[in-house]
Amino acid sequence: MQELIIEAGEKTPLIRCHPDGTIELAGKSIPENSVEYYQPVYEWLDGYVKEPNEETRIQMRLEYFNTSSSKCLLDLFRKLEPIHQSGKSSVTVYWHYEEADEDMMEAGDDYSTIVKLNFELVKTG
Amino acid sequence: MDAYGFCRDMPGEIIFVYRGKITPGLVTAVAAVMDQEEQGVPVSERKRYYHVLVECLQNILRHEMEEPGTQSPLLLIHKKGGDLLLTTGNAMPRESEATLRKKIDAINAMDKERLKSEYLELLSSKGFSEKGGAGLGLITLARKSGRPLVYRFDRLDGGHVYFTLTVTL
Repeated sequence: MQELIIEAGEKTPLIRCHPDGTIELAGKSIPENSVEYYQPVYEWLDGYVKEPNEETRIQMRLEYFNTSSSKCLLDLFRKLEPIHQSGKSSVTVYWHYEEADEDMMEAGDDYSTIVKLNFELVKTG
Repeated sequence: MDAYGFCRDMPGEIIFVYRGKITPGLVTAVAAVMDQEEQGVPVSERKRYYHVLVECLQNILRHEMEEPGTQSPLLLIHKKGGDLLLTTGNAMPRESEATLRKKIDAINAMDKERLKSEYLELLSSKGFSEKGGAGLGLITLARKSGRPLVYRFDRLDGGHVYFTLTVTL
């Protein structure tokens, strides 16, 4: 599998997906049509889950995201639930947030409640 | 709608007024203005304003009516007391009014915990409907604001209404 790199735009995050199981999102995600933006990531994940690494680590370093992105992020996490639940891969989401950013912390907390993956809130700054 | 009269009669201090088509570039421009105004405010709070602004404007983008003769969208940001008020307006079909009223009234009646569980439920529900996703956007606004969403419907010609929403920050 190839590595997928999507460079950050004015309203879109940097996305890096590596077949060794490291996935990273960084920046802001406020595109008007987020489904279109995240489509290549979904396709990459559909390929990855066929032969996943023993460990999958997702580094979430988003500054903020709009509500349509929030649905896309959930779909992204959901794509990895089957391999985690079957034991094919141990999947952990590292949700980074700045100390003073209560909203981002809460958002991470929200996802950890409904997503069936390992979840770690990481305070920075 | 008399935008000038509307603004003139508005108590408090006006920071930004815009009436016209909502463009992607507008969000960036307005965010810069707001940033200037709110220099003394902590970063996390400014992020919240930005998020609310983006949400409101993108809501209009989704529901904007392209038909000629309908009133153009409105954005108004002003200060009243210690609060920052963000008001957006856009025309919509009259048929949408009843459902929207119900949605907002229901949201305004929810406490913090209920808002959170509603949000999570909507978020996890199957099916991605951008337009129908008005529920998720409104709940986000309510959560970020912590205050009731204030709204108004004004009759327009041609079977339309003008919907105005104010978020208090």
